[in-house]
Amino acid sequence: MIVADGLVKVYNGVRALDGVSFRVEAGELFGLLGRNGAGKTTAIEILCGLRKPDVGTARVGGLDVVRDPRAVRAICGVVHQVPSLDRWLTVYENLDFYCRIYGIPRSERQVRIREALALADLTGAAGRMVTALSGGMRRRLEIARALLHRPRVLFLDEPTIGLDPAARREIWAFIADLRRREGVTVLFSTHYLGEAEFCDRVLILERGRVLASGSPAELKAAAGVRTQVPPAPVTLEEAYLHLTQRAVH
Amino acid sequence: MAVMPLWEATWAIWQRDVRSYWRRRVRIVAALARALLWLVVLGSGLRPLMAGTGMDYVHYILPGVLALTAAYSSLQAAVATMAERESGFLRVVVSAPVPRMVIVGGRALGGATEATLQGALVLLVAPVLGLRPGRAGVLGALGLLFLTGFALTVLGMVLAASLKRLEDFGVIANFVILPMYFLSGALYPIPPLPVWFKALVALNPLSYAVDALRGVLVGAYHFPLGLSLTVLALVSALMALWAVPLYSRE
Repeated sequence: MIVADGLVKVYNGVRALDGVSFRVEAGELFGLLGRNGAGKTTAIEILCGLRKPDVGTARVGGLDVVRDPRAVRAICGVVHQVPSLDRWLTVYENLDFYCRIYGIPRSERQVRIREALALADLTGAAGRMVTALSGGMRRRLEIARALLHRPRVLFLDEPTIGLDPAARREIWAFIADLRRREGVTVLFSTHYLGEAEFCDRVLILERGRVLASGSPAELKAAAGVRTQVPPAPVTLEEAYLHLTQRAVH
Repeated sequence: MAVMPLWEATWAIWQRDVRSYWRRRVRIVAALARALLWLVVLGSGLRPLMAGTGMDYVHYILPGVLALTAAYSSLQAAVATMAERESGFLRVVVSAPVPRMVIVGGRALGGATEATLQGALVLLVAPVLGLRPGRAGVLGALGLLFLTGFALTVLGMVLAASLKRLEDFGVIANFVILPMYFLSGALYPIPPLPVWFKALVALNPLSYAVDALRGVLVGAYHFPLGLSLTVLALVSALMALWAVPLYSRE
């Protein structure tokens, strides 16, 4: 579903991405891990047709992100790290605005908006201003909104950033439920390692390069071998710290 | 891929802008208060000194205050665009399969509408100040406010995209709106001014807006109305053409 091949992106002399390649299969839940500034957002912006790589190519759903960014944007749903809900509109108006920008015909808008509200568990809040929602509700709304045009791939850039632990758990339950129901391919980024435990596969980015990739179990095993420290690390967080050699002790 | 309905997206942005305008009542009231401050306080204060304008000074400056009101609304709308594209509701438009030029189109129509509505509120006060422009005058003024608002919104979008510092609205107010206002013939008649001043007035697009508004409201023109309309239409068209590529980079 997603093929990235040798992506390079330089900002003011800094290599945000330095030859990143990976694949994501259809239906996967794929995690992009790394600390702040590792290149996660840049990778997502290139893959959903928002930015051009300096070098390298990528295809999403068989479409070239450089040559056909608009077609790519049509099949991608994106939840950006910075919230993009309109605080001057109600929940319903935000969804309606999105439908119109994505060219969803008027005859279908009502049904899709109702579905999105149900999905986000916000049916009763349709008439409320966005500013009256909690952080978790806003995030659910943004994610449900990104599915209105029935994208084949959903990109979530740090979907739980700034949320408290209860709201973070709520968002992950929501995403799990979403995959079950919609079967959409999900690529998300995070620096909370615990959140990547439930991924099919993860990719660790470090200073714009791929440090490791595989299933969470494989990464844990790899970290255990490399560091030769028994007992082998048990959590993905420990594996990450070993792989990036940032263990404190 | 199906052709995305450009007009629908532009219309959606326009509608959103007008809706949010009505919901920001504090801003509407503040803008009205600013206009009244100029009209009532400055206007009444200078009235005895400005007998040379040949008419009541408050009536003389009303068109200028209308243009100033339009300038604030439209430039405020224009300057917010850059920021809203990066981390606001326009991010949705950037991520969608529509060309980004709809941002310029929708916002320019929105800015023009806000300028017209805000100006209409000031016009409602005009009878209280003793000015009754008649139906044709009011309709003409509303049309001019829309055209002025459009021109200034696209001009502001070009400025904001070219000079990052202008994202701070205070900077634009001090270095763009107020100089344009003072150099527009809004506050003093143009004929007695020194030549250098007259040249600056002639180069300032707001002068033509002020003059045309004064013409339709109180019947006094300095420039021919056709010239003023041409200047405003040209500024709108040129700035829109300039703005589209600035906001279209993929």
